[in-house]
Amino acid sequence: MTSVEEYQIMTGNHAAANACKGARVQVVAAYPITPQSPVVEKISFFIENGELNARMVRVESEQSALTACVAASATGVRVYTATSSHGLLLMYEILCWAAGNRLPIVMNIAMRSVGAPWSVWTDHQDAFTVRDTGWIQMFCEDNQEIYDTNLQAYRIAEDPSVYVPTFVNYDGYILSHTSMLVKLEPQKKIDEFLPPLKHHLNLGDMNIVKGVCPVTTPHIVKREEGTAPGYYEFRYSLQRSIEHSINKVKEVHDLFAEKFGRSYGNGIYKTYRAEDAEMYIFAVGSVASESRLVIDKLREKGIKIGLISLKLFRPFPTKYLRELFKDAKLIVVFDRDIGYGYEGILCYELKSALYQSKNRPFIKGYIVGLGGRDIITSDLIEGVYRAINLGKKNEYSEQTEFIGLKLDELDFLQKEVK
Amino acid sequence: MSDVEEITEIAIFGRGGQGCVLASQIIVEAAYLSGNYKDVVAFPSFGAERRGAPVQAFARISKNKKIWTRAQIQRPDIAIVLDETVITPDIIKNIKENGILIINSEKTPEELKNYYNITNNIKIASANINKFCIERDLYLEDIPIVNTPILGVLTKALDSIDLESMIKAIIKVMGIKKGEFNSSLAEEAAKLTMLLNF
Repeated sequence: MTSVEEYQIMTGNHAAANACKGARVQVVAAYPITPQSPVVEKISFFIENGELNARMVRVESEQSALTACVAASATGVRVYTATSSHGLLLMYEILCWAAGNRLPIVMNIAMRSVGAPWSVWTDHQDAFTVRDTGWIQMFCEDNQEIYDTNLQAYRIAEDPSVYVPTFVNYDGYILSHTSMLVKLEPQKKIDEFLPPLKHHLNLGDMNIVKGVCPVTTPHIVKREEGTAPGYYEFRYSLQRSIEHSINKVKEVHDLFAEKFGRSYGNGIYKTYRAEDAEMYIFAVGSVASESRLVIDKLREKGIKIGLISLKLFRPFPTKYLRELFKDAKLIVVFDRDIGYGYEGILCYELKSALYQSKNRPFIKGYIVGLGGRDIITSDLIEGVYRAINLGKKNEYSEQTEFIGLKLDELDFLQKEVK
Repeated sequence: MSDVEEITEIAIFGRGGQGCVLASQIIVEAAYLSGNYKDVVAFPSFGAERRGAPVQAFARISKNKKIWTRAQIQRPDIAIVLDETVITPDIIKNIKENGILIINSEKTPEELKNYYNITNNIKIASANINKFCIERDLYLEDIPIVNTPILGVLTKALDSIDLESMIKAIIKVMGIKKGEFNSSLAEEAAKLTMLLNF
């Protein structure tokens, strides 16, 4: 860390707002929801203050907010929005439309649990829920990373080989309302890294044929090739672009690192004490940052364990993870989310990625910290030890395991279903 | 403050409207400006805050290591109590060994020690900030301004954050006009500090 003057102390929300200012966003539309609101408040302040030349569109709901962003982006301007939880879910329909339109919108998700019961606190359920809408999705661990990733996100999303909207996710409260050191970059340097948006007029760049415009609807006339001509092929080209965007994500990360001197692993995942590791913790966001202490404590006991903090969740970096875990014996996945009726979402995504590997490590998943339940280091350590024992016996439990429940304390008398 | 990780954890207890969150933000600015700390983090208690209800804010300041933990602080090295009426036995009991209790109270540290039956090895610093506010008619929307004066008291109890850094931090966070006024309060209140080492 360099001299005192270069840094400011700010919340994650304000880091996000500063990135928007740096990126010279032109249209912002958002609807307030805890814990996202201060991002847009700060952007409003920048606009009123004359520091940012952008139009703030006031809307009556999140669905309208994203609709306004879609419309604005289709005219070729750089747009931004942010939301959380129920707001994100209200946007769901338009999320699909934004991806289908191939619009390079960047959105921050200040991650928050989804009701009921009512909760404004963090978990990753909202972000994981929208993973199949066709957006690129990245996670952050601290406020500097929010700022840096937002700047990279525009460059990735707007690349002619990509043209896919992008989520940048960070934990509500835990980052959104926590003040940390953040280095803001000079405007000139940002402008060099992030030139003005070139709008996607050449559909050929996106592997889309003429006559199938992602912005305007095709004529609904029955043709030989089907009732929605080109829909299927269009969706194919979206999938291909997202798959290939992984190279762009890496390239933009490396360019950023070269220009600004800050890097986040290889741009796809970050490692902590993983060089000689035989087992790993696999997690995102706040869970990953908390896990660093777990690694330290277990290393003191001589256990060769390292952390893989996944940064890029969509596209899912299957190839990279297969290579990374080619000699792994055990992976413990901590999910601050759940695929109800199955298990933690990150856990089953990883299992699926490693199914075709020659080496299939023992993977043990836990649910942690839903609805902002504090994640305690000692609880995670206990989870790792239990996983090691299960791994030795190669024993898979059929029921999803939760860490940090207070069933007795809160008088939940429900009997365990056998 | 002999934490293995060299991270000092601070918890601020007060009532909604007294400026706990602002105090935590000023503390981390001051810690960073002092040059003695490489990484700092400030955060509110994650919950709905209401005026008058007991609220908390937290700070972590680290001399060398980057701070990665995001957990709430259960056992602080330093507890700052802005309003004596929010104090509970747990607040005192949870202060770590060799920690510090900083409190706005009319009682001297010795009186506090007896009154609350404090048996853990902690340093106690008290100052009668309420009286200080009444004498000077310092109110903001009918609530005495206690948060910035008590930051002066903190600099007397904790060597690694000096008064000069605290003054700079108050001005940086609050802006020149409010900051200069509030930093003068911190400076004056620092002189009222009564200290009891363990």
